[in-house]
Amino acid sequence: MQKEKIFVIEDEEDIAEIIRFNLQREGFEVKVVYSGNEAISRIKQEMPKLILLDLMLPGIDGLTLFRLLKQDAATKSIPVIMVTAKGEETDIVTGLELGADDYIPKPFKIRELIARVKSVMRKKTTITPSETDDIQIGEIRILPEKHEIYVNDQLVKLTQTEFKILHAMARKPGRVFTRYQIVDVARGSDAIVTDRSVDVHIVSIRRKLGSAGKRIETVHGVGYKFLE
Amino acid sequence: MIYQWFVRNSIIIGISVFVVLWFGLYFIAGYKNYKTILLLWFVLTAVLSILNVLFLKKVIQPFERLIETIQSLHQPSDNKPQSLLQESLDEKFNQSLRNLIEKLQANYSNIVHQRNELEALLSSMVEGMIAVDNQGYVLRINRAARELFSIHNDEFNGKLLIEVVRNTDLQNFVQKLLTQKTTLEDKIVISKIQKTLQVHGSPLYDTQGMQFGVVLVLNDITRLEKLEKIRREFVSNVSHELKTPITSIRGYVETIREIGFEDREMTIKFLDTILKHTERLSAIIEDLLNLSRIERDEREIEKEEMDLIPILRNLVEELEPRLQKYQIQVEFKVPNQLICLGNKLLLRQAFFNLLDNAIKYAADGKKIVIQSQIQDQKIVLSFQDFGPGIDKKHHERIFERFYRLDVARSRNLGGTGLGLAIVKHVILAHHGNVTLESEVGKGTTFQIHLPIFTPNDQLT
Ligand SMILES: Nc1ncnc2c1ncn2[C@@H]1O[C@H](COP(=O)(O)OP(=O)(O)OP(=O)(O)O)[C@@H](O)[C@H]1O
Ligand SMILES: [Mg+2]
Repeated sequence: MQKEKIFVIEDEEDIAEIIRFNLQREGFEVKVVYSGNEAISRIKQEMPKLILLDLMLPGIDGLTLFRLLKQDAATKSIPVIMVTAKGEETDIVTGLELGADDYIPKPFKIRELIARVKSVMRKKTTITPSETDDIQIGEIRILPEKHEIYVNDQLVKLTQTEFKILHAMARKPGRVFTRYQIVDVARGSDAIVTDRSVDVHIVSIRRKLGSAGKRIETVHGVGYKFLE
Repeated sequence: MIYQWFVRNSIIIGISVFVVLWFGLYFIAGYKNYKTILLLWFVLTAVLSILNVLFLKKVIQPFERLIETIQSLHQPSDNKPQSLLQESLDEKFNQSLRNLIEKLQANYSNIVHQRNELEALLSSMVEGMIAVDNQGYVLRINRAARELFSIHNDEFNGKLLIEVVRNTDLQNFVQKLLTQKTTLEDKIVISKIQKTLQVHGSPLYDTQGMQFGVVLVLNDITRLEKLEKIRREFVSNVSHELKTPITSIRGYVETIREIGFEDREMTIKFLDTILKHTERLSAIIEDLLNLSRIERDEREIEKEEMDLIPILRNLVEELEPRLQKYQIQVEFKVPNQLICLGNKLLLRQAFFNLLDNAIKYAADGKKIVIQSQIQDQKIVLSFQDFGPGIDKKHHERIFERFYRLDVARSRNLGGTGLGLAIVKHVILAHHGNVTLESEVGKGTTFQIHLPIFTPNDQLT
């Protein structure tokens, strides 16, 4: 079987080495690139299945490199996981809004890293349900056609805005939504949502879902995600 | 009024009185007794004249003086008004008038005093102060505010604030303040002079509790903001620098735990990596502590009279193995003695960092020249290498903590990026400074300027 190829773009040699070691053990083919400048041409040549991208790189920095990848039709659809040691979340938020699939803060657990890599790989093969498809995740069932949500077969009354937010997040479980992305999702509904009021809506959804509310997880300083 | 009329018509009144008297006496006593009448007339006339004089003096004059006094109150003066009113008037009236005048005088000088005090207070305030009325017309702008917005004297009198200060942030703020009638706080930026102000506004009320305007107090927080930014950057840099080795340590430890110790060779290799990163961690922490210690004690580090030459020779001797490995020659162009007032340990650390850099970044069969000169009453000690040099664009930032030209290269050489920051602060603590001359491809010279030691200097 052809091994899936992963690119690790990381300037710290020892970190790159241990990532490679572990991902290889998991059966992936791993290529390490130490600088942003070198990365672009090699990615185009070798078309990896996934890119692990450190945001602090010498030369072209991670975020710039990421933008270039997303602008290029050839590389646009390669999933990217950002890896970062930065204290500030702004870069992560920017990255997610530009379409990064996930991010891992340093220092990370190796197991966590592997799990994220596998999850992103898997998600690429499972198709996102369409706007109208019914969704069942654990105890939550969403019927978009009827605009109804059931928790353990109990009908839950959500406002139009809350429904839109929950539905959008449940369609892509495990994926981090930034506040701005949630604002975008809720656009055109009954209430005007701003990046500040997002939190209020989330609190309300959680409360209405009861015990199932735990599925909406806060990602500190970044946004929220719906757990699988 | 009446008394003035009296004074003006005194002659006519006098004559009339005499005439009336004459005829009065004539009718009473009859023509035959004209001698008696004449005598009586004379006597009465004399008495009346004396009374008249007394009357004028005693009754009218005090009023005149009163008026004078009251008029004099319009101008500030130090005249003692009480001397003007004298015994003639009823003592009670006189006393209360005197009190009144005293009070008025006191109030007047009080007001003048308070106005001057307020003026002095406002103009010596570091904070800017602007007061406008409900319509937005300027009531007052103090000196600090005038300077902030470069308003020239008195330009603001009776004008709208919008005309005087052209700053949209401020205008919006005042507008909001005037409509909301509450206390507000905000930050505004004067882009022309690149300043950030903290502005605090509150309504102004008169004694009846009616709002008649608003007052703004402006604080220049440019420096604070800058310091805050530096601090934030520093914290973010430190955490980044610490996270990098920790990520490695964690990754390798977890991996060893996972796969066990079957592959002995690999396990040892991994353990070595872990060791390397723990060493780096402690090096960073050590350097940071050193830096903060030097910075904190910059003024009171212990200094003694010392010779720099043995320290330098000693260091070079110590570095000999590394120098030999890279085949670097060290050339000394120094006198036998170079006395200065300094802290041996700290200076040694600074020299070490410079030599360490010269070896690390400018190695490979070249040489290092250590040279000293006396220039403008200063010791100039230079460390010259013939390596790749440092591009001009880095010169300004090279002494910053964690600043490195090539992060990966410096890290692989075990650098923390704190070496030059330490050099800078050690030399600053010695009242000196560090400069840098470099040309790409030719080499780099770091120069340390230290005050020359004269024996009668106080030891600290
Ligand atoms: N003599 C030199 N020639 C060329 N580059 C230099 C020289 N000295 C310093 N530099 C550059 O300046 C950077 C900062 O130097 P500094 O000594 O502050 O940190 P470091 O050497 O990386 O780490 P440390 O000294 O803490 O181990 C270095 O990373 C290097 O890029
Ligand atoms: Mg150094």
